[in-house]
Amino acid sequence: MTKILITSALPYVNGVKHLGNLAGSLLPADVHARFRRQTGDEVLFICGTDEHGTPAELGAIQAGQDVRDFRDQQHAVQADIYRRFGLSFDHFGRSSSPQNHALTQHFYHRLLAAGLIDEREIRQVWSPADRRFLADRYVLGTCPHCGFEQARGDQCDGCDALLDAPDLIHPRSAPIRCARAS
Amino acid sequence: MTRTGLNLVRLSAVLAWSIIPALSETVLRGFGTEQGVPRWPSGPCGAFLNGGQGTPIPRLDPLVAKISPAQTGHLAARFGERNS
Repeated sequence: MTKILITSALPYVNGVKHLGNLAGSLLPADVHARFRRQTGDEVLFICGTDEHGTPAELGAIQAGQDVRDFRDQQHAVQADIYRRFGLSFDHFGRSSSPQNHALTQHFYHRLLAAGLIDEREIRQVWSPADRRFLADRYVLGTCPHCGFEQARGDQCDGCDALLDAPDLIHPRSAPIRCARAS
Repeated sequence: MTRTGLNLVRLSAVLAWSIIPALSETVLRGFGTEQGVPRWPSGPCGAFLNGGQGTPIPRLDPLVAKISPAQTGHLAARFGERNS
């Protein structure tokens, strides 16, 4: 009996996902997990909500909720949807769980002890209007490659070039509502 | 011939379980033999297609419900009219 660990891209905790997330990521993993169980393999099918990063913080602000309450509620909504779709997770957890924190820190300390963590200086985009550093996708500006004026800090939808937010010409903060789609 | 046909239906339900589990389980319940994860078949298929003599098979309702005109109206209102 082969032991099989299956997961899929973790859906971000903000909001209900679009159908493409289900069809392109969760469903193929579920079909594979079910098939492996049919052939007698020992399957562990794990997924969960990704609850770290700027979108969760901004989503909570928009909803007028504490970040923790916002994540609790949004996780429950998604877990219920996937249960009703019949996805056969053995565990649908949360990146904010103490278990995940301990595991992540374990990996980090092992890498650090092995000399594989490198400290570097990088440029960050600070928004005076929002009084916060902004993740790439929350910055709009003109693409330095094609001149498209609505380029996002991570990618230009005009020419598909991958970008770094500091490279944008005339950078400005993105309206939060636009940047939430994920 | 009928037995082979019915066994083919049952075999198809087992093969399709990973993709359409709810529909597959409806069929397998009709055969009254499967509980939990239906095992992937292996070995010669003759036994699969020739077994089950004397097993009573109930008449199943349609597996996939027909969409009624009333439901069509409801779906159109919810998701919009079909584009031509």
